[in-house]
Amino acid sequence: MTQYVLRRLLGAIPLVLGIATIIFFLVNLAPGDPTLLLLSPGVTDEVIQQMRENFGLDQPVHIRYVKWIGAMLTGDFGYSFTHSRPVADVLMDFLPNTLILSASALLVAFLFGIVLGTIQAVRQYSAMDSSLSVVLLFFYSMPSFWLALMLILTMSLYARNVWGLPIYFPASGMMSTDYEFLSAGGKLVDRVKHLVLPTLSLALVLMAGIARYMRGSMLEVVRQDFVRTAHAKGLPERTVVFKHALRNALLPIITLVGLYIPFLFSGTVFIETIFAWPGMGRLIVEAIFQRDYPVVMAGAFFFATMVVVANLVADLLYAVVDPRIRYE
Amino acid sequence: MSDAQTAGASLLAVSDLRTWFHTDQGVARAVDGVSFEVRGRETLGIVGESGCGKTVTSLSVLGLLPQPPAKIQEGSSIRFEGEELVGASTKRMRALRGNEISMIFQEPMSSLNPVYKVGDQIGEALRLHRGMNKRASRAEAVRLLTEVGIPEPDRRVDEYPHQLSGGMRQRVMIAMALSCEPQLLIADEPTTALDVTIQAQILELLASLRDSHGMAVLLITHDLGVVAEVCDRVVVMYAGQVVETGTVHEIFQDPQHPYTRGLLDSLPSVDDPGQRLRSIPGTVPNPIAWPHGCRFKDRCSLAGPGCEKPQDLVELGVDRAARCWRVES
Repeated sequence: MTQYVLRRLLGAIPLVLGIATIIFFLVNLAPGDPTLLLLSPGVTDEVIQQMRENFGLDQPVHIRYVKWIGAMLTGDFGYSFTHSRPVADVLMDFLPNTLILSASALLVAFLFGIVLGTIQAVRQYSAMDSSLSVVLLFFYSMPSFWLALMLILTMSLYARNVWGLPIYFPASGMMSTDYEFLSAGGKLVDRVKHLVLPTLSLALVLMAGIARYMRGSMLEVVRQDFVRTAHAKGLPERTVVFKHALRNALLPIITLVGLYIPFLFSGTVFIETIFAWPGMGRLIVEAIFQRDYPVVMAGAFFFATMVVVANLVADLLYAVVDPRIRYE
Repeated sequence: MSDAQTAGASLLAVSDLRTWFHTDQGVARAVDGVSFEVRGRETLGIVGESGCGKTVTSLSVLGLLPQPPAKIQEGSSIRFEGEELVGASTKRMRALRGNEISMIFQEPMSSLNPVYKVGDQIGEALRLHRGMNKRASRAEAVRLLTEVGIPEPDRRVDEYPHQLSGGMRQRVMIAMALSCEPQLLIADEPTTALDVTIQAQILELLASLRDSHGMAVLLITHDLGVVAEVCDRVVVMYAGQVVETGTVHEIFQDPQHPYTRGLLDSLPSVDDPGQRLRSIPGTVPNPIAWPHGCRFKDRCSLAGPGCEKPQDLVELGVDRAARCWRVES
């Protein structure tokens, strides 16, 4: 097992380097010049030239590539044009926020997706099953940015202005303005409240997809012979469903962890922008508009690496749940 | 030792069992008026082609059919030690399953849960019905594995089903079924999926366990060879009905119903190798529309005018009957 993990990690190195290469050339060969965006119009050519030299943009692209890759391998992601700080420091400010948001969205999506799908399968063709199917299909079909806007509209705007309710879940930022003055418990509650709407916007779409998979997977498993064996032992229904059927039904769902992580990250780009969430998604969007190459490259590289890691984790989870898969 | 465990006393009495399936195409009368009795310590075989209703009969006894679509009709009765099981509460049925009545299935490959260790799966019924803890149930699982003839039980108990061969898995299924010392073991085609040498071993094991545990066995099979080897009495089923009953000796030596004769004729003969195997022409009719009159008449070489009306089971003696007007009572 350890050997398998090591081998997979080693195998990931050329993959990650390949991704880095593609990212570098995509960003650097794209039209646009960062210096023109940063300087006032009408500055002299010498100033522009000086700035290009400062950023290292005067060198040919292949030299820049070698330098960038070389530095990156030592953990140096360069210097942000717009933040005037090392890229690694900038990322460290934004990264935890994105991880919190992604992790909570992933947790909510899988937890509720699995539970709802299981309920549907166990009560197949019931009113519960049909109504859940309709609701889930709705969420599945809606783009997450639209859902986000609708959540803001209902939970914030209508809640206060139309229905006269307090705003339980703020629609912007990670914490309230009076955050510093709250008690430790109050701080936690404040954070969680801010997390709710962005998490839901990201999670509902994924949850609906997971629930649909889970329903199908569960329905297939409950028809299997070993489920009949479990019934023949006299086990109560819930033991049969939650012990014997569920664990087998989860196997195909684990694959979804690896598949959904890229969707999740691309989702954060929209959602963080909509909810003014200071995360990687928003950082990258802003960096793209500002032609802040080092930040764009480092951010994209980080997301790509996370996807590779997520797939590795999914493979390992598979081995944990299914004894037939032992990576030797 | 309770009464039912004494040889000869009625343990399971099925009478006029009708299990119908309500489908979009119509009502499939898979089991349509079946009666038989299993007595303490005996092995009763139920024989018939695929689709004759023998598996549905066995699943009806344990209440393992999904309802709907299955529905056990009014007037059906399944009595276990005198207790009516048709309409019994789910709780009561659960207390019987795996405890008083156990079942083993045709497919040992898929009948065990792939993600749990075999020891855990064997111990499950012990923890449930006997209130054993993990440790005690594991020790008992090791003992049971030894009893069903699995080598290195200490190691095997912690293995997963995929690490065992088909024959071993069926032994595990048997160990699981035996765990709570049931009075009745229902074996639904227990050897069909195994190769011939393993088949013989499993049948021998079943017979010896039946004797050592003093339990009765209801053996469902399409294989008359299996019946000849282990059964005391036989029920021949066709198209959801019992067409003939008798002792193994009677059925093999003096078959009365043309269907039973057809089945016996289809067996390969040891005395006369090289002879072409005979078969019964046609297939089992559709349970949604059983033929009127005798259900076998379309495939019967002796069909005549008397076969147009529904056939009654004609009593020919003690535990001896056939569903054909031609037989002499």
